[in-house]
Amino acid sequence: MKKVFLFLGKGGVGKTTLAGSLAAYLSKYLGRVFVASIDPAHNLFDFFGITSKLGPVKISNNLIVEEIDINSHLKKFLKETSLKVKKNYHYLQMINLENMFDVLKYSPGMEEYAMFSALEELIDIWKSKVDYIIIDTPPTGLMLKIFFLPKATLLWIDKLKKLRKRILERRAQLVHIKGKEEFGDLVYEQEKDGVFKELNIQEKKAKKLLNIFSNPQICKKILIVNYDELSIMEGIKIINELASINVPIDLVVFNKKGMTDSITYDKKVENILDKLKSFKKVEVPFYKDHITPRNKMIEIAEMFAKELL
Amino acid sequence: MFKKIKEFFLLFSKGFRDVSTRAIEAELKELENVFALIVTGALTGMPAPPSYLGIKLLPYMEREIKVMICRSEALDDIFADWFDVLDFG
Repeated sequence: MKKVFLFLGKGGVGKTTLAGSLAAYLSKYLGRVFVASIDPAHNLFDFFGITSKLGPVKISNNLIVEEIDINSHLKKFLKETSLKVKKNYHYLQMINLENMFDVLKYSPGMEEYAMFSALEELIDIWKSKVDYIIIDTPPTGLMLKIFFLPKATLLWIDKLKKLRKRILERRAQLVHIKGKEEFGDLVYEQEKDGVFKELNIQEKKAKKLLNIFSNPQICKKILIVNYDELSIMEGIKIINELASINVPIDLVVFNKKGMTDSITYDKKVENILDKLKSFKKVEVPFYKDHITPRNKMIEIAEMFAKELL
Repeated sequence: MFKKIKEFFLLFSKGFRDVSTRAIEAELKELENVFALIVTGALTGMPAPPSYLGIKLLPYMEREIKVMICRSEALDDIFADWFDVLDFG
């Protein structure tokens, strides 16, 4: 894998169109491409005219498209966990936990976890099979949570590991003083402790994703805005939020230029635009006709692709 | 005769070890209780790790959850517990 491209921006600015166009361009000229949408309200398949709804779809020798089913990721995670709980908790052997766990998918934070996990999994699967991975992301609010999740997870894991170490140390002291027979199967070694092992696994996953996000050589973040106050304001919010976790934006694409007949920028919009002047900027015009023919997609991508390679 | 003396000393030594480890055992229970409270914090209104992390750890926390439930049931006696450990009274 040479690069991962993440398309970010307010809903409706054209993330899917530009992500799909870049995929068509790269697969024609530069190598194998996997493009996926992790937006729960995705329409990447519609963009490529795909009617099938399951799994990755091969469009050409060099291009694979997938709409990630977040719900199935969540279901798989909860099913696996309920089986593990059943296996490890002696008094829960006879109870059907799956139905109870099913409710957890509505818990706060589960949706962004499912996306975080889907993102981590798809990068892991496709990094050895393709040259470029392109991700069409959900709108700002959700995507920012996904960016922050690895960081928040790492902070918590650090604290939990310290506390766990103290627990295991105390257990080891007791076992050494009073003998193993007093405590049955009490675990006191880090290598054998399920909690510690799981914390290590989750730490590794979070670090891997955070490293990819913050590596400007591998991961290119493309911010899409339109010439309207709200999408630009939201774009600036994305830039500021990501800067706080050292994830820089590589390119700002002003999409749908000329969509309204006469664009009149008031002073306010001009001031906002001023805040984006330090970023690499590209403009893509508004297309009145259908943009789904492949040559049209490539024409669009040619306007910004070179800035990213 | 020797057997009885040996048994006496073994019992004596066990008694010593039990007394000397009471504080460590109480601290361990408290740490396990705190660990379970933090991991399941979202349910008790405390600052909590991301929900998924709690769910991931859940399968391995049978002991900690039992300790937490026991501790919460005996909250009224928490001072009595510690006075006992510290040999007050």
